[in-house]
Amino acid sequence: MNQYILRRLLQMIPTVLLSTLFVFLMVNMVRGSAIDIYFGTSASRSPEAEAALAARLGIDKPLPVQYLTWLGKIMTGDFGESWRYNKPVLALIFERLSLSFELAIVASLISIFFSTLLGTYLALHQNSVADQVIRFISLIFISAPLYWVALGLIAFLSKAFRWIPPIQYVPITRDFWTHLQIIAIPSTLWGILSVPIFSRYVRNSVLDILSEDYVRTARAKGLSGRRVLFVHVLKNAAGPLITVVGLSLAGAAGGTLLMEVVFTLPGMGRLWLTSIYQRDLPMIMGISVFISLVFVVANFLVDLCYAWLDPRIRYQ
Amino acid sequence: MRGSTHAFATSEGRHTMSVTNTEPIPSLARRELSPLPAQPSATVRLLRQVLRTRVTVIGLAIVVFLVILAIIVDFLPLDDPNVMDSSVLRAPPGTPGHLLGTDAFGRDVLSRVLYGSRVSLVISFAVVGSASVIGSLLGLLAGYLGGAFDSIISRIWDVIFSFPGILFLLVIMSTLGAGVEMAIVALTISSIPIFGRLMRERVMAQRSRQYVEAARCLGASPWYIMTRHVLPNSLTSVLVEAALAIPGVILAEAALSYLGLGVPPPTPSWGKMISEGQDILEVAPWLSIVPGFFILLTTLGFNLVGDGLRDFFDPTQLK
Repeated sequence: MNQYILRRLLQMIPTVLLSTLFVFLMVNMVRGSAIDIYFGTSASRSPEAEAALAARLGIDKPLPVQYLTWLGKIMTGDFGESWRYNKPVLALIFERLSLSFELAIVASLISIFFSTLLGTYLALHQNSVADQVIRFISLIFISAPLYWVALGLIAFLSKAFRWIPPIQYVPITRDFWTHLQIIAIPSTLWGILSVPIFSRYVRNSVLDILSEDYVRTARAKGLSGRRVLFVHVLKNAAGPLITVVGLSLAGAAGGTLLMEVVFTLPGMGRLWLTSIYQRDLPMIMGISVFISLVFVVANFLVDLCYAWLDPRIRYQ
Repeated sequence: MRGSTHAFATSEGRHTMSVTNTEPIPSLARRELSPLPAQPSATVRLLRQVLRTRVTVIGLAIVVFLVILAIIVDFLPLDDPNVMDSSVLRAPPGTPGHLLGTDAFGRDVLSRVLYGSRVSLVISFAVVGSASVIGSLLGLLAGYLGGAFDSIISRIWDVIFSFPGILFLLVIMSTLGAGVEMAIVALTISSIPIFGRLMRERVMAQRSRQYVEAARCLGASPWYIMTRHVLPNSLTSVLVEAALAIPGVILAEAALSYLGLGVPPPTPSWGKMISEGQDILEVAPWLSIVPGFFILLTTLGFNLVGDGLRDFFDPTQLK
């Protein structure tokens, strides 16, 4: 296992390097105008100020040098300073991070729990009416823009219960209950909306295992259906379930962004969008790299879970 | 040579057929094991087959209808989608002359939605078209050349996949800036790996097939084998993948426009219309509901067609 972890850690290095290089190159394709972007229509623009900025950003140096300097700074946790907020990028990210994580994790937990339950039920009642209904609903949910569904829900709640999303965001440390009210609807909504889709994955992987020989053997030994299900089937379906966890976390990340916009929550997604609108280059680079790091680590953890559950993977 | 590939394809088809036909034995065994699942009876299976094709036909009808509408929208008796009429601000659906009402600027919603469908369809066809060609070629090269080229390409795809869904689009859009061309570029880049991986997998799988060996024995060059045998044999998979990729691209483009990073105003676009209606959701809910419904209809149509195509070309996936 240790050897596997080490190998997997080493594999992460090129991915991280490539994604930083990718972000760097993308930003530098527009970097020619970085000075224009920084000053905008500001009156403080002068040849001296431009030269000072160029020196400060290091854009007077050749590209490879710029990249390595930037990479070195990131390694030491220095993501640069935002142009619009005049604060370190990393500090701004951490201010907003907890809310986005909270939304994503609550949403994934809800979707994982219910899709496992529903998926197992559907596998045991293959081709029943419920199976067909869920199939249809998941098709609709794959096809619908989910932020639109969320808007529809807000419209419905405001018409039917006179409830509107709280306008002012309250952090968890200040008032737990108000905070919970704010978080509950977007995260539950996103979690529930992904249940029909993920329950199909669970259903199919449980079905695969139900047709295995050892399940038939277990039945032939006279074990009860319930015991076969919980001891033999679900334990072996855990691998595919991890895939669902990974997928739902990834989905929740994108979903969180949209939910933050729909419910006007000050999470990292909104921070990213604002910095895109304001063309805040250090912020854009910082957040892009940060998010790619988060997902490289998340993929790593998902792979570790796989290897832990299925020893065959460790020796491939 | 062509004859041999055909013979191979049909023998493969017959093979899968025979697997379904010998089903009774495991299914009998399984029926004893309730609550473990039972195989559906022949009638249920037949019914499902009919329903499946009917559902595909419905999907196809939706798609054809929307495409025709998007083509002939110029000739329909509709208001200009960008003309503002201050006498009918936020008119509800059913207002004479404005079947689906008007928006906050007095623009006709029906006209905007239909012109929006043209924008959405053109973008998604352009994206899927270019991504499938570029991706298939890269995948073919990666599978064919192997070695360093293959591992570099695979790493790049890993990077693209390491940002889930819309987040990768945001990385590109945030550096390129908003706009239709940028959205097409971003969506294409993010869709290329889907086709690249598919094609690479196909090349790997077919490399050791007998018909490829036969061609090699006859002295065909690897490149000839790739382009004349492997590529044509993989085209149906690419087609199915393309049909299934279109709804994803439509949704992604709508999400980008919703976030204000896609199609710039005043060009009508579904995602933008939803976000414009969002601020006055309580007063004029139809402004957001109508474009969202059109997105749902279009992607549903393409999904149904894609599912139908997959079932038709790859019956082994049936569950």
